[in-house]
Amino acid sequence: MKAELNFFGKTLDMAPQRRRRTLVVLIYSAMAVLMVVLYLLTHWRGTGAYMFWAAMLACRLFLGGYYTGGLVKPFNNKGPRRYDMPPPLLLLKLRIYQPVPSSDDSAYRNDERELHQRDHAHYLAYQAIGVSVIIPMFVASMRVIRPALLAWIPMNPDEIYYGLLLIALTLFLTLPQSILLWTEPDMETSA
Amino acid sequence: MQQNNPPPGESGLYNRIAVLRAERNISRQDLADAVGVNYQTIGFLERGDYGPSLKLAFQIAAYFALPVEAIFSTEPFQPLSQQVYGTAPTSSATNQTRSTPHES
Repeated sequence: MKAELNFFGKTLDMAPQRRRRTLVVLIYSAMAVLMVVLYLLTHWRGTGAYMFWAAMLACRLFLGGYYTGGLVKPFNNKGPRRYDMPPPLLLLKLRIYQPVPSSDDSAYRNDERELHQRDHAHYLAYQAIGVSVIIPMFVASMRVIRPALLAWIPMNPDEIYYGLLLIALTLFLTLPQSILLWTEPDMETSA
Repeated sequence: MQQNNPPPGESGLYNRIAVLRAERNISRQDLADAVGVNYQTIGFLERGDYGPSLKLAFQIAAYFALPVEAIFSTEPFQPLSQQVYGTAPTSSATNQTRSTPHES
């Protein structure tokens, strides 16, 4: 895990655990707000995919775990792929992240402790994601068995399923990194 | 003896990495680079919060040119003075050592 977050050219010190926890809370709060706004606008019809892109953006900029951006090193334990030619987005100067450094990829490799932490975080996330998938199944069964129990929810059942699946998707993309950022204690200086 | 060997963290392993590093004036980053881990991991190892793999333990032992059992142990380490000279440091000796600079 990196101790510094490079955000649009500014370097933020994320070594204190408190800051990382604040970041996680802010990200999930923003996602919750976005989900509510999308529901109020279109009932997630046609806009539910924005949650996916928002989660990917959060990973790219803050959380990491995939590609090169964010605090958590790539889960696949590999350095970024490099191309002989710059991608078109770089030519158009539309990049939203720092270009890939040309040095060795050791900065992207997890050591054995980090691999252990990564696997443990996925184990914990797996349980939470499992629960978030089971809930729609439970709701679906209740819709058949006891439809009156769901009558108080001001949403139709399809919207409930879709909303719960959006939550599961968001957790699938972001929860392992969030667990890592949340549980890693204060990071030390290299001296 | 227990006071000289604080209980290890989650790993259940005692180690002498911090002592050896200080003795040889090696930074965490230097050791981390030599054995191919993050410097944070060295801190976790020193505090006993992480138990190294056999490979990493041997790499650290090779780096310090010592046997593995001289660096890692499941039992508290004896003070080096006791191991070398066969005597445990006494409280009077400790006080004498502390008072030496004032006497001179």
